[in-house]
Amino acid sequence: MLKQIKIQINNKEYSAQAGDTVLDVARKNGLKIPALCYHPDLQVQGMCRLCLVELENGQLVTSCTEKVREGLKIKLNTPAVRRARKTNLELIFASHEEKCGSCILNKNCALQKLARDFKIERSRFQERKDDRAEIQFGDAIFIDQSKCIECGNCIEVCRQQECNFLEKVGASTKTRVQPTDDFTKDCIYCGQCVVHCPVGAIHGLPHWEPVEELLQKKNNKVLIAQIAPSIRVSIGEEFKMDYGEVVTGQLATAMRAVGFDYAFDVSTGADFTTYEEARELIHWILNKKDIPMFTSCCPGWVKFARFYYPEFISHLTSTDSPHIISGTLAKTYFADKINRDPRDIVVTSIMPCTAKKHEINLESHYLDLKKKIKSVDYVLTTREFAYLLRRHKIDFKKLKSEKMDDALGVSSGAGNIYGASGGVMESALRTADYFLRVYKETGSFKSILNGENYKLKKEKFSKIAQSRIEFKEVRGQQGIKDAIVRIGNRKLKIAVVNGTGNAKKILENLKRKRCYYDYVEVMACPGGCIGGGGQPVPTNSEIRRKRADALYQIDENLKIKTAHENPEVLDVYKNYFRGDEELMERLMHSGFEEAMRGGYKKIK
Amino acid sequence: MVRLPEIIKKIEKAGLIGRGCCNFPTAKKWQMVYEQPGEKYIVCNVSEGELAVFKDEWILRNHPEIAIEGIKIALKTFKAKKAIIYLQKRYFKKYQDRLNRLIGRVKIELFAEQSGYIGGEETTLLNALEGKRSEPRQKPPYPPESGFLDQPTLVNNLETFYDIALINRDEYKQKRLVCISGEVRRTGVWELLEKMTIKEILEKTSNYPNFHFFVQVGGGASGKCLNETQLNTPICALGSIVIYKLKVPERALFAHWINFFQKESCGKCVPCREGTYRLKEIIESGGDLEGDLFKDILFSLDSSSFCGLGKAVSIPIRSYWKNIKYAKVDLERSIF
Repeated sequence: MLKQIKIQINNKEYSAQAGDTVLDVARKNGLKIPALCYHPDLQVQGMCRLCLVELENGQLVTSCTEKVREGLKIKLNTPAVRRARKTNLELIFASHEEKCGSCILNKNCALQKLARDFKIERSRFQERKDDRAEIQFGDAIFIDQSKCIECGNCIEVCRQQECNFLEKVGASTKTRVQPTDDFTKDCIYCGQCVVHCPVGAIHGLPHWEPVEELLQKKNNKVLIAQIAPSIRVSIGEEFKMDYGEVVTGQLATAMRAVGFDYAFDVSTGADFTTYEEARELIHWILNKKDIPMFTSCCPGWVKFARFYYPEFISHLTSTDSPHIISGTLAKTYFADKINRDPRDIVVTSIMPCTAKKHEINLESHYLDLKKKIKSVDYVLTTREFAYLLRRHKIDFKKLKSEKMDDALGVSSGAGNIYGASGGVMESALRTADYFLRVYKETGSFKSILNGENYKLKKEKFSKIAQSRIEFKEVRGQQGIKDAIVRIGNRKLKIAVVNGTGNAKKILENLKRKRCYYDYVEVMACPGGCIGGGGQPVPTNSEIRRKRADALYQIDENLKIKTAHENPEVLDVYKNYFRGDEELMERLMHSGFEEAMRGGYKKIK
Repeated sequence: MVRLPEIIKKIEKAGLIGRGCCNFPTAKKWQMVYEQPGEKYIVCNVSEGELAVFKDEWILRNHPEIAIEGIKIALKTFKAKKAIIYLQKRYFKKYQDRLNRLIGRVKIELFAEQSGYIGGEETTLLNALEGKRSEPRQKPPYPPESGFLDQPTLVNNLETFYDIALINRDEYKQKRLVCISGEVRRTGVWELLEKMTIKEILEKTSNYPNFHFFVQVGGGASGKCLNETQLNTPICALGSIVIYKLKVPERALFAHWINFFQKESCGKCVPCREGTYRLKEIIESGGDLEGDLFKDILFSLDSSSFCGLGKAVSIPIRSYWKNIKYAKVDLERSIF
């Protein structure tokens, strides 16, 4: 038990633990201290000098760095604190070009809130960064240096991700944050920089403008929108709803309200990914292929592997990610159903992710490379979609709940938990377990390929489909959890990793044969997709946990918890694929190659 | 209670104060490092980035072997892994060969500074040695507890090591190096008794002006301004005296100081990076040097800068106002 310490804030006593900072104590007790560069996920920067408090001797200190000690007496908001804080805030505003009108964070911005709280209408200083550059990383992220206040958060999180793509160069007012020229480093587009930036200087590359144009001038196109599992438990935050509030029904309504013709669910796509990945896992195990098999539905992780650890490319599953599969099916299976040419179908994915903007441009994810038909045409982040709804004055909170459209709108519990770290793993294992039992009972995979939903005669109870897998954190390897599970009658050693910093640890251990796993799930973002680069800000471990818990609650409440029982999935296998393995391979699988450096380019 | 080595007791008896800008009692710092467990490092700070300070170069030119002797004493006392001499770029280029010859096979390395003034701040120096950006670290922890590679580290100025060698030889005579520059006949470095007053120093070095003047002591950027009536005191700061003509225009004076700080700011924290830039703007645009805007920035620098550089910016300005511009005595009354 950590030692308890008593401190005084504004003459009132508070309890603290050794190692806490004054800011920690204030936050735990609901006391307001503004802090711009501070983020609970990251090391303290201590550069904005806004979180000031006054000591007994009149000295001002930053509360984010001031560790508690017995008898410490602090005053908040003294005249000295207010004077220094106001000046520092004005100085910050003058180092940040105000482009609120075109910024996605408009009205949802920490800097704007500070101006309101401290009644600063305008800074007494002129803005100084109008000559700064806009730089694009690959095809998914861009930084506007004129808005950057050089707090260093993006650099710190990129370091945690073991990419080190961003660095501070120069000194004094010439200091800039920019991508490195070190050609051994590249961006993986995970967008953690985006969700840790306090001033909206870094954004995902916007896709909302062409989407909005399409929504307004249909041009005889069929406009399909599809939402990732994570969106239904996160987008509410953009409209001041509770963390983890489930808004699936309102999302279906919102997609139609803004002009899309069909509202589909990527959780359905996730069930297809599960079905195919389970088949692949079994094939992998039976034929002793490159162990461990790694999931590949996370494009940030895939980019990390392809660029930094290409020797592990052969370990990545070939199964496409959920939205790629549902995009593909929308332009093949569904195109047939509504009798439209795939060239007239436009698919927009709404994702918690910025790396998906890069994923859809990979050649292997084109439906037809020659005819230039992509499986998915646009990716809007959660934030972008909320921004679009606000632009169209759609009051999300007041929307009625509707159902997703049929064909690609029904999902199992397994499909919904994809957004949480460990979810892909669990889903795949639920189905792999079933597939192995089918194989054992019938001697073949035929019924699986034909989508027959074969009813097992013996050993019907599946432990893995009815209970959570109990993972244990690997000792000495924080951020990596593992477990031993039984599927069919086989024992598998599995691991779940989130954050590419942790992925690096496990890869290095595998290279040195210091550990053994059969199957590993890797998500580039903390907590999985619900902590993704496209998600609402702010983010922290508590918020991510609430989002993830909500997904698992959906799983609990759904009767169908397995991908292989999803009637829409079975329908496609039975009536569209009809056991044609080559067709399945062509539509739902892709290979990967070593990645060339995407680097960066100046766009202004 | 750890038994202290003889040399630390001798340093304490000599009452040696660090010859960098912080005036920390040297024996106390040595004791702090000595009492820490773990592998230790020695750092000799020759950044000498302060304006009007060139005493460390005097040592490099005239008595480098004595300074190196002091570093060797530290290496032995702390059983340190190695020592690093951190030199400003020009000194590294000019003196590296000579120093390397004197060092021979002893575990002393030379390191060339890449930044400037801020590199003399000890935690910034340590970051530079570790290949990181030249920005200061949060203190505490202080280098004796956690310095180079998070190990206990002794950081002392070059002249401090020079004095330690003299103390060890029993040749220390309570003298220190003083740099004199500005409106003087004889710019240079003198080795003088610590207790000499500023007036005595100027007289002894034939530098006492025959015109009305004021001085800045402790550095030509961050030093304090004193008027003619305030010179009956020892320097009590970094060994530097700058002479200015009394009539020097305030705006030009402030521009001289602020331009230096603005250029040398590392760029980490808001009050210093942005504040010095805006002070420069106000000075250059003819703005009110005693207005609310100017004073608010100085206040923020004083009270909320991340490190000592930001906190030093207002020293020359405030002391100029207090002791020169609004001096309680008539500074133009002729005393000749």
